Amino acid sequence: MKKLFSFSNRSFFGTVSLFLLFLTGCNKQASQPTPRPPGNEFLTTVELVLHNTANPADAPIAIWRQLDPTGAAPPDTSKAVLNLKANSTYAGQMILLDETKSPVDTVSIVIRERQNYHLEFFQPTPISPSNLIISNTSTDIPVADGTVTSATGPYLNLVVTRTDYDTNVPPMQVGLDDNFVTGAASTGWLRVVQRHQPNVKNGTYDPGSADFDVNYRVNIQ
Amino acid sequence: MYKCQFRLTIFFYMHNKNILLFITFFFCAFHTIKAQKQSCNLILSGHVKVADSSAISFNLVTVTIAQLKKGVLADSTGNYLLQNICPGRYTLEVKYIGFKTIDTTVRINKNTALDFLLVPENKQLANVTVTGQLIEANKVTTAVKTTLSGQALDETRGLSLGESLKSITGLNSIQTGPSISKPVIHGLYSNRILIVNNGIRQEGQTWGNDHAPEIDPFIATKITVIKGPASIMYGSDAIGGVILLEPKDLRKMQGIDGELNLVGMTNGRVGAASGMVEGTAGKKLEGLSWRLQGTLKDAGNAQAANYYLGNTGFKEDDYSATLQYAKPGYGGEVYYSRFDTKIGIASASHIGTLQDLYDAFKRSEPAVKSDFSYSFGRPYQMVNHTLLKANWFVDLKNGMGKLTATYAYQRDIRKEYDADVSFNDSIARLNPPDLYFNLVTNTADLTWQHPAINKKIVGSIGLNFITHGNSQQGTGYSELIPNFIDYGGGAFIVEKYEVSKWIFEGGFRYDYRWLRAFTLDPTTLVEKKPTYNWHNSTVNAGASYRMNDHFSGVVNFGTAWRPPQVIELFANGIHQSAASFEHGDTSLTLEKAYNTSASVKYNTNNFEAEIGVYVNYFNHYIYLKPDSVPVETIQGTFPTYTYTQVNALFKGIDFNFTYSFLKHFSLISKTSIVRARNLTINDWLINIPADRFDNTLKYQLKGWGKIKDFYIGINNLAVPKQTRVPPKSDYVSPPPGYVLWAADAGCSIPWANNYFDVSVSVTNLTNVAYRDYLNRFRYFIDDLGRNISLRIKVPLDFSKHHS
Repeated sequence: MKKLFSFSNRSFFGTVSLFLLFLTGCNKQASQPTPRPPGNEFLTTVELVLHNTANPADAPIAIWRQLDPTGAAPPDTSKAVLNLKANSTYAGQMILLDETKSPVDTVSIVIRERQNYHLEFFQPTPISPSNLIISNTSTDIPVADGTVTSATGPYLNLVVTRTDYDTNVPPMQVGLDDNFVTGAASTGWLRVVQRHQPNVKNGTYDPGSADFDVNYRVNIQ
Repeated sequence: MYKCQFRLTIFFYMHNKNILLFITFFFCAFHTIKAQKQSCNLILSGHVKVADSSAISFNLVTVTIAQLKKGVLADSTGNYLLQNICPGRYTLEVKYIGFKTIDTTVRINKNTALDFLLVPENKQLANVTVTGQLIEANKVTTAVKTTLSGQALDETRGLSLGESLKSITGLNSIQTGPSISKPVIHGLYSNRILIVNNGIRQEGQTWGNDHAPEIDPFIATKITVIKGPASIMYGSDAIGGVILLEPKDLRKMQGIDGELNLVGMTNGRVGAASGMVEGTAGKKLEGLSWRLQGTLKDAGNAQAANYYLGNTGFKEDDYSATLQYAKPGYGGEVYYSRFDTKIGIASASHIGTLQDLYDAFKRSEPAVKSDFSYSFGRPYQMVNHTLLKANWFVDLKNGMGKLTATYAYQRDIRKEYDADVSFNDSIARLNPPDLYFNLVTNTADLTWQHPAINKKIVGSIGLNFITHGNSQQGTGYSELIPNFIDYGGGAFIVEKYEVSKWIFEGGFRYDYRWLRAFTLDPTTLVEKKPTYNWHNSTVNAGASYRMNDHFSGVVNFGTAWRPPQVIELFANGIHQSAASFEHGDTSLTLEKAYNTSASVKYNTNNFEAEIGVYVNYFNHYIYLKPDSVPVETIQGTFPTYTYTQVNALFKGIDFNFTYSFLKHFSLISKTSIVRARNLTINDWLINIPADRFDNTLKYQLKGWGKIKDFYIGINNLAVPKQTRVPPKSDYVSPPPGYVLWAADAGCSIPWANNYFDVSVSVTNLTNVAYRDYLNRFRYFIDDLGRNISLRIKVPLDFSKHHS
């Protein structure tokens, strides 16, 4: 048989085999799972911590909690209930936690630091259309953004107002500190939304996006 | 050393529709010391000229030896070189679109120089033409394909790859706002389409709808789209088709030349510049050629008909370098390219909850108004793609064929920055990406092109090897896809047989793929290493028939398959931009497609038409199926989707024709229709392009004083509403149909012994506010408003003093 391959042919095959050798191995990073990034915070828990301004012993707390940040497991809403006295005024605080950390991390401290681009909304329902107030100082959520008004009731007799201000010029409300004022006994829901509005905060709901959007059962007795 | 031994000039005067055809032959014989006794290393070289000194793209002139199935493209100055020719009598064909094909017989028994003169044809042709019957052993012949080059490609300069290809019948793009566009072939996209960049499979993060191909279209002077599964040569996963980007051949003759492209657009105030310089090493290192190329793009906020689209600017810089060494019988090439981009994502698209999505859709314009700005912030993407390719070929002794080995390394880095910075300030200050993927791909290919059997059967046998390693970092807690490595191997054979007016083509391919993922349970922190392997075969059979100069046809049947992708297997989390919760399915099996396509072409002097039909049946087609139970998270309630497999059927028609009338006018019409059904539940499939009717009236003038190739055209695009969608598969129903007008004009202007090309085009002439079904940001923002583009292409020649 005739010699098929000259030296250049042989070096050709040599190079090819070298390539193949080179290809196997490598990629250590890809061949193990990426560890969870340390220190980053998730939002697992939204707490409403209230106390009756006339009765320090009346201090209801409502907790909405979801420890699985992927949402694969359902949230724990067994404590997402706010039991309030009729015709009372409560001072309230919103506490946000990352309970995947040990010790538990308080995210609302960071939100306070960044209050200039966060805004909280509290929407009691059922609500009559005439009581739904959309303004720069109202905690109500526009109908276009999901609020369903009821013409007939019975209504939840609750009004939430924000009591804290950011350092924008002029200052705008934030809503980590609030007043909850109840009327006659009633039941319903309170939808709480934190709007994330970097550089676009103007007191209204629409700019930006929602950091969380949770619902609490409310009983006024 | 050589000199011309004798020169013979023959003039053929042929009266053909008032066109004088004359071909000039220059026979130059090489004086070589060695006698070349029946050795197959003869060289045919020469120069192609144009009869009326029209400015043509010489690098698209093909010179073919019919009997050897051997062809080359001329270089930018018209020089061509064909090597490794055995002595004999051959039929030579010289072709260029819009010019008479030269067809002549010559005897070659020594190194020969032959010059050709191209004479314009009497008719104007469509911008987009189907490539001819050039048979090359290493290319697909019987597939339905369309090539974009010359003026048609020039008109798309400055656009992304996805947008550039929309002028081709049967193609669409799936978009994410104004700056991200992915090509869609016959309703298929993402990982069902293969992009081959300068001979290398592009390996990026193709799984995301907002992951555009990481390619600078300026590197290509020719883009060929194969519609249908060209899976034998290019890989089993070329289910929907292949997009081949090819740079022109490197310069063979001495000297240095270049090209400069400048593009300006009013919408987004886009500026793009792309330059190329190429040359040869000179006499001492004959055969060594080089090319350097680079592109810069800068764009600010784009504009819809009635408002600015905030945060939609982008910046891109790309460059590439080629070094080639080619000698008779062997040669090689090293190619390096780098693509870098930073793309702003429309701020109006940012949503935290499903309610945000519904709210955004109800607004007639974004809640926050924007002005023009070149700067943009979060959310944005940064993508970087590096390709290093090396190949080498040798002609084996005793006419045993040709061996080609190719190796390529690709690294694709994708960083996505969400609108929200981290809650933790010490992290926020570092501005880390929320998603960070690093995909490293190595491919090695070995092809043996065997010698022709009985001078009738040509073909190749090849081996492919591929490995990926993908790692992710980033602060985003939803581990969208786990890290993985995979290895794949394939072997193929493809053969062609030509008999009278028929060409038959058949191929077989077998692939094996192994995949291992490295997952971490987010709560238990348990590591797992699920491992998969798949293997399957693909076949392809096709025939093309050329009845006469007017009538030809192609029919092709092919299969293709792909393994499920990592995201389809393991996804588990909120897909933020889609406001949906996606579940993977680790039990998915491979998806297989059976495609039959046929096309018939008819052309006369003033009429040219092509009709193509296709039927594509899928077994285990993978798609995202909406679930009945939503998931509740702290960000609200999200609908959930699970990757599921069904049987599906895609079918459609591509129809286009060009009718020339009144000497200078032509009507160019393109129709694309696709229908896709989910056969398992007997319903429509989601995200399938609406019908598309594209009509252009064009006025062309060969010469106007000193100005050449003047044209002016008006275009109408009608896209009706997509009504064939499954119920409850989308948050909102598809947007209404729309009609857009566009106009363009261009010409070549004499400048420094050459011509530079200038063109102006206006898209969305009437500034219509519209939304396209395949633009994923149709929930939030209108599509682009009026855009006026100015394009200038300047050829550069630094070697004038040599001649």
